[in-house]
Amino acid sequence: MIKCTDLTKKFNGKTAVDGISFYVPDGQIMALLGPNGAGKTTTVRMLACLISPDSGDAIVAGHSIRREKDVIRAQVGILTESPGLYDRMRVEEYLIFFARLYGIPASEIGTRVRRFLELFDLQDHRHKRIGTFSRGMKQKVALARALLHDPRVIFLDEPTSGLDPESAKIFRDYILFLKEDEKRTVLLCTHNLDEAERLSDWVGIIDHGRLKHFARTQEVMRGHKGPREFRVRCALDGGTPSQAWLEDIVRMVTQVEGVVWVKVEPQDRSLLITFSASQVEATNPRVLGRLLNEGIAVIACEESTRSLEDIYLETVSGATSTMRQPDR
Amino acid sequence: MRRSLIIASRELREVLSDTRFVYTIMVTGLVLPVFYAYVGLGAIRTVPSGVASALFPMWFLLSSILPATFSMQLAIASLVGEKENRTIEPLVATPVSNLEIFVGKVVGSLVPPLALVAIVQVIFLLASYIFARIRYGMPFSPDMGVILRTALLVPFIILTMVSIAVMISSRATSVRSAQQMGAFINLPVILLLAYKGPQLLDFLGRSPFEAIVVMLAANTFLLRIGARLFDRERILTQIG
Repeated sequence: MIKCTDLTKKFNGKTAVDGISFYVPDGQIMALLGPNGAGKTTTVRMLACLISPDSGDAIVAGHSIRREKDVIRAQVGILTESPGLYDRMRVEEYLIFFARLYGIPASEIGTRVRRFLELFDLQDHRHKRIGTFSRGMKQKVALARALLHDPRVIFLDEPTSGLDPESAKIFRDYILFLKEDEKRTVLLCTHNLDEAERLSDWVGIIDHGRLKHFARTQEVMRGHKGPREFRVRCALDGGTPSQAWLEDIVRMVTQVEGVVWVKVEPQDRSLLITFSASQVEATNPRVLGRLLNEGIAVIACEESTRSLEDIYLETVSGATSTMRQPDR
Repeated sequence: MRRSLIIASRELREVLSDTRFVYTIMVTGLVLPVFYAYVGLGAIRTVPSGVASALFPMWFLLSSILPATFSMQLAIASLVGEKENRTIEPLVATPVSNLEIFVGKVVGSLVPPLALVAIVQVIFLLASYIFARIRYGMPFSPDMGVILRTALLVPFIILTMVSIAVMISSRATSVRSAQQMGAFINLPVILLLAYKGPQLLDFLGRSPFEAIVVMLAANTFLLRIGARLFDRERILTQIG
């Protein structure tokens, strides 16, 4: 679990992180998005007890980052922006070194190291010097180091950057395994919005040190402000529909109780009706019923989602500031 | 302190894997003491025997310390070098205490100069014997008590120098600035030894137990101060 309360950090009078608060329950993943220099790394460093906040506090894995730093360091895994590996060391030797620093019992070190070497397909390279590796290989070693001591909370800064698609998938699957089977909490800093969409339960967007947006990923995808949007695709018989007929449809759907707005677009041999509704359970059946009564053949109906990229760009351009907190 | 030893052993393995560094140190350890013995005995034979017997231990002391200053670069780069290579963050993210990291770096940086000193002292004595007896036809009978006291004193001096060097490394913003600051360690230590060396050796001879306790206490204090000055946040965030 990660619970931040008004976390603030300044460097030489310049505010890097400005009163951030959020809560990520056990066994969930939060994606922290934001442009370069927004304060993501500083936030992660504070939560991993690498630097101290100027004000505010956070509870990580049940401990305060102000009072129980060593306990937290033992229970979190961190993958930093740069892999930060000792180039002269050999992979196996490197992982054993960190396993010993994390206090893993000597009898378990061999098994754990082998497990991660196999997981990240490094077993054939275990006796090679890290300095000879490609960026992707180095990233795998750094990931193995971050996960080696079985941390309860994991901070990942750009974890799949530099990885080939296959390795990135292995890694993403492993993160989901950690969340679902091991109930680990993960804070993922990424520029890969698709990855954030696929992995995270919560999304936070940080800009100029402030958390401008924090909500459940599903809610974000549905549209983080205003009523939900739906798209109805209908069959279009004959040629191009008349403007008057299109306006009739708009008027008809708008009259349905609960509909906020409607847009109708003729497409190739189909008609796309987009509407937003405030009372989804009551409004949607009424809209579909009205269309069917008018003899319009409904082919498909789906909830319209916006890409995380849209939300992200909208937020960092300064348009919105939305916060949702889960039940604690 | 088990974790300090883990850090120290990694440092040592890293040093030993750098063949250019190992060769340089070996050449230093083999050539310099021969040169010092040749120059030292050449000068000592021109002075009265009383003065010569007083000068030889001092020359032995300085000859032991000087080569060690070359390997001080390890200590100077120990923390700031990790910062520059961006390897410091994973290290300070572990549950290892500041004292353990600091002591680990000191121990890791201490072993190469200590090994070098041991080699240098043996070769210096052998070379002095050979030059005295064969080259200059002089008797060679150094005071073995003084030699033993010097051999005991030098590790403490090196520990002090390494501790200060690691301290500098923990506060410096770049390896280059640390090296510049490190230059200020060697010169005062050598001048102090040239000036107060005989008294130190004398104190060690008269009250060996007290002298060792004083040196141990001073170095423990230095390690504590160094660990307190070592600031994880500063080393991660300070740029210039």
